[in-house]
Amino acid sequence: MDTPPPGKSPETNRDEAIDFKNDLIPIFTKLGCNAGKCHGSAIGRGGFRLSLYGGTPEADYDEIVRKLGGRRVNLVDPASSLIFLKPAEVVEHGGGAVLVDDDSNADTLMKWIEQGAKFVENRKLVRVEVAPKRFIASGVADETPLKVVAHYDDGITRDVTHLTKFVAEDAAAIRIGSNPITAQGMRAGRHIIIARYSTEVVPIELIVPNFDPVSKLVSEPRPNFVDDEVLASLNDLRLPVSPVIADQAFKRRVSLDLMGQLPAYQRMSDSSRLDREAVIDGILASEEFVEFYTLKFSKLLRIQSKGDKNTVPTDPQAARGFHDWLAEQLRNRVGYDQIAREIITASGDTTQYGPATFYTAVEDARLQTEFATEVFMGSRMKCANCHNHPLDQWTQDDFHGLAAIFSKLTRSKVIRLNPVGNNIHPATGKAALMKIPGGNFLPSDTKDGRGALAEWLTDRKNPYFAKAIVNRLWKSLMGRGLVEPVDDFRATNPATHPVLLNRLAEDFVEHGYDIRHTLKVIAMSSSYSRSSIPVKGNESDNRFYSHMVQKPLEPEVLADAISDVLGVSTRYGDESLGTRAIALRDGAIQSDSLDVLGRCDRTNSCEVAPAPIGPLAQKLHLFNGDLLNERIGATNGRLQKLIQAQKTPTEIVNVFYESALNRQPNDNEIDALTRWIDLAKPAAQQRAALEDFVWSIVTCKEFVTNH
Amino acid sequence: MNDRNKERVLPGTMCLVLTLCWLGVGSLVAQEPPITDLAFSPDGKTLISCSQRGLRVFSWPELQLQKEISAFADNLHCLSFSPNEDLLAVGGGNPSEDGSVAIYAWPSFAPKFNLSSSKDSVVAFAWRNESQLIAASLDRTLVLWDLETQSAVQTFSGHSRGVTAACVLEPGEIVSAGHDQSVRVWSAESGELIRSMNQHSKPIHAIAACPNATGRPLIATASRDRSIRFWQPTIGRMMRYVRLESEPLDIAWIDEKQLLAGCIDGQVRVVDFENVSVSRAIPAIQGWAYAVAIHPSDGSFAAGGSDGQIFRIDL
Repeated sequence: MDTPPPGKSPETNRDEAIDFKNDLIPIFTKLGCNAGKCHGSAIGRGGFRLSLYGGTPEADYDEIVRKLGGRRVNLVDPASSLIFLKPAEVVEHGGGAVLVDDDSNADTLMKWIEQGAKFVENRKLVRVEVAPKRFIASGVADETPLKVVAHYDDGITRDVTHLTKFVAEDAAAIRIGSNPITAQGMRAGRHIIIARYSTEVVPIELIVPNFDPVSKLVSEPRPNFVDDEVLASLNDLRLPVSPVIADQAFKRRVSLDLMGQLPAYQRMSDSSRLDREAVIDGILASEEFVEFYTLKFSKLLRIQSKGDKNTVPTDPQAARGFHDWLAEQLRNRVGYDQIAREIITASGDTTQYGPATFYTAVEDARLQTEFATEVFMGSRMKCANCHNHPLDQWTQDDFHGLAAIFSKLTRSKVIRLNPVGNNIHPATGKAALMKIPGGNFLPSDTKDGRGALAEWLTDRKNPYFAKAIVNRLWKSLMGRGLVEPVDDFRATNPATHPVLLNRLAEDFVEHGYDIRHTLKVIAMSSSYSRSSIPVKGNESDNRFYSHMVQKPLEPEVLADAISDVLGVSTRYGDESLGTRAIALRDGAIQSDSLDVLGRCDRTNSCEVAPAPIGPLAQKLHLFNGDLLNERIGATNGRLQKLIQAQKTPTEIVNVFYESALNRQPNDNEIDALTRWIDLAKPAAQQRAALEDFVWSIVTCKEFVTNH
Repeated sequence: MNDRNKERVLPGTMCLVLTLCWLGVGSLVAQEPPITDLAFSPDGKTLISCSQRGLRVFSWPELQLQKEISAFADNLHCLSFSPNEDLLAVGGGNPSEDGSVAIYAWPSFAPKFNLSSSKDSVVAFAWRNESQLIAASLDRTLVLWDLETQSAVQTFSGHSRGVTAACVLEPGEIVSAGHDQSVRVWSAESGELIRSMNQHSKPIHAIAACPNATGRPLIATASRDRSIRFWQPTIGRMMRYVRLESEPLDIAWIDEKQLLAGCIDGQVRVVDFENVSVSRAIPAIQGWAYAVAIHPSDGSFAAGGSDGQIFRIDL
């Protein structure tokens, strides 16, 4: 806006003047006028555009009072104001009648117009306080009153409950009552209500416990603080826990999670116990761990060669160089803070210096802003490209200030400073000033703001950096982030276990941003060791870790596992036969197998896991395609070798169970398979039956998931 | 009414004496509605303003209020004298309900008749000749009225959003512009769309035809995209444009080389057409400068805007 709106009305008593920001905007929000589906959409509605949830009151004032010759407000005859007639549906209104003549909202609006429709801001909102912030109900339909108090810069507090919009995350599970405003949980579980007053949004946690009383959680083993927090939450919800899995199953789970491969099967006597800590330590020290976590970070950082005319090209050598650099950092146990600093501040020839390839992943400074904040802050800042973020603190200045930092770079094979680069701020039409998100503008003579950005980001007190990465590590082992999606940290998407998230982040920082340390803490917990099979009472839990989430194997892991079980390797691109999928150094390497298994194309950060039951085409390939059928019967495959070695069908069945599922078949399975592979039948039919058995092993849910 | 004289130092070394007249502070409680349009009487002795208050007639250059006429609708948006200078058209309407045109005899100000066919306010005018008037409406149409029969001769439909500006070209073509960001050229006779020009990236507020353009007709358009663009509409050519520091709301040609732009920062800018540059920025209105009008002979202009303000400023 070029001119500030008129100041406070000198003619009206301060406490009588309707406050545009603190009284009127909240009414528009409460009535839904400035919501995304109404006038708050990017193009407005019916020619009338408000900022989303009142994020820019000055622009809203112009829209209401000044645009179109001021026709929306009638200062001569306030009752004829369009801003009143429309929501009252005196004239046709697509949104229906949202204002009722005799309600207090209508009174406030009318009084504001009568006072001259001025931009009055009596005081600045400092914060809002919601009570309760967390409510544990005694059961379904237990009701709690909600209260919202606004605190202003002049020390005044005010009950603004009536001006606050309450929205339940799950509208079917929560009932919001009026007069007085209350909340009731209508279904067991943890529910979130978002309270929105003015620009402030506060989540309210409402817990409705199960009916069934739960005991015994007190006696559950707690190897570390992870279990303290997980069990405390389960206790609130009265959710029982599934038992801890046996050693063989644990070994399979931890191997797949930390190395991306199946462990070798070892028979264990009933009396012997696996030293789980030793297993974890061994894996974390292995080259296989480095390989697998390099793959994970390569996906996150979108490392792949590309050369489309519409994209910034990434040389294959640059992609491989970035991959190898990452592997080297992990191998040398470099702290994640240092890794991030080097990536953010990287410049130079991408084919010579891997981290510089970070700046060829996307096409421009704004996309780089989205990319960098999702990766390093777990925050989706892109909403703030067009308007102040409606659900978070990010402003357009934050977004475009960060984009201004990235705009000072050329994007090509060589990443170098571009002194004339800039990012036009859409609100001003001028070059945006460099700014640290949520912080200060950088001095105008700053040539390269990335150093300041990296310092801020990796500061011990940074509220985003450590949490974002420990949440991703947590998800990689537990199947679901404490904040989910993992790149969507915001006040209105609170962590399921906020204290646990804080403790993990603090512990991560205390231990030198050591990825291995945090992975070990999680893997050593009882929570990680729980069976994926629910027990009575926790069947519907999918976020509190009362039982393990069944995780689909990543495409690369599944491809390697199939190769290992069948004994037949797959060739990937020009790589030598025998190269494992998790070791591929370029995400763009041609592979039909990986495509069939749902490989992420790395145009995003691959944060969404492939569905356990894939799309139809994938299923058809698995049923009928060469990925399995040709390899099951291959002459150099494991099945053929076992048959040639004259192993009995029972022996063959055992071998495949051990290699694929890390267990031996149980009695029921042996019984069924014995009937299926009928020894009385001719050899060719036995072979066909065995091929069918192997196919069923590598397509069964037990194989394709980590459970 | 609160009259006062001020001296104001403008940017640069130029010192001008401004005769200022701040209108409409009739109440210490309520803010005055903005001045939405201004027009000088043909003899230059009178300035007429419109707003939600209605019509106000001032002596010029004294800016003494001489007459007030109540509004015939909730909002009045535009004023225009007929080519023969004996009629005054006033446009307005009740938002989202209807739009209408009131015709007054000049100088008696006797109401002659009202014309109404729009579903939303009439916000701009252009006279085709003494008996034909184009009215642009927020209902997305332009209507060509015959004042002798008091009937709509032609309705021009095609704008996808409200029409906010119109002018008439000598050959008989009509140009319009609006919130759909397009500048459209129409055949006045057939009502057919001849061409559409879409270089503006935000809604267009105003059109002004250059009074003494040599060669092909020349028009200027002002848009929320902060640009003023210059066109030869008969061949569909955008000749040049200038980007302002602030959004222009209204424009008026001073001569064939310069025009005035009233902007939302309250300044009135003098734009040099040939150099496509702003030669002066004149602080005028506290708030938005919705309307500018060039005096026919004395080298001054009037600016009107927020809070009922009207200023006389010497060029």
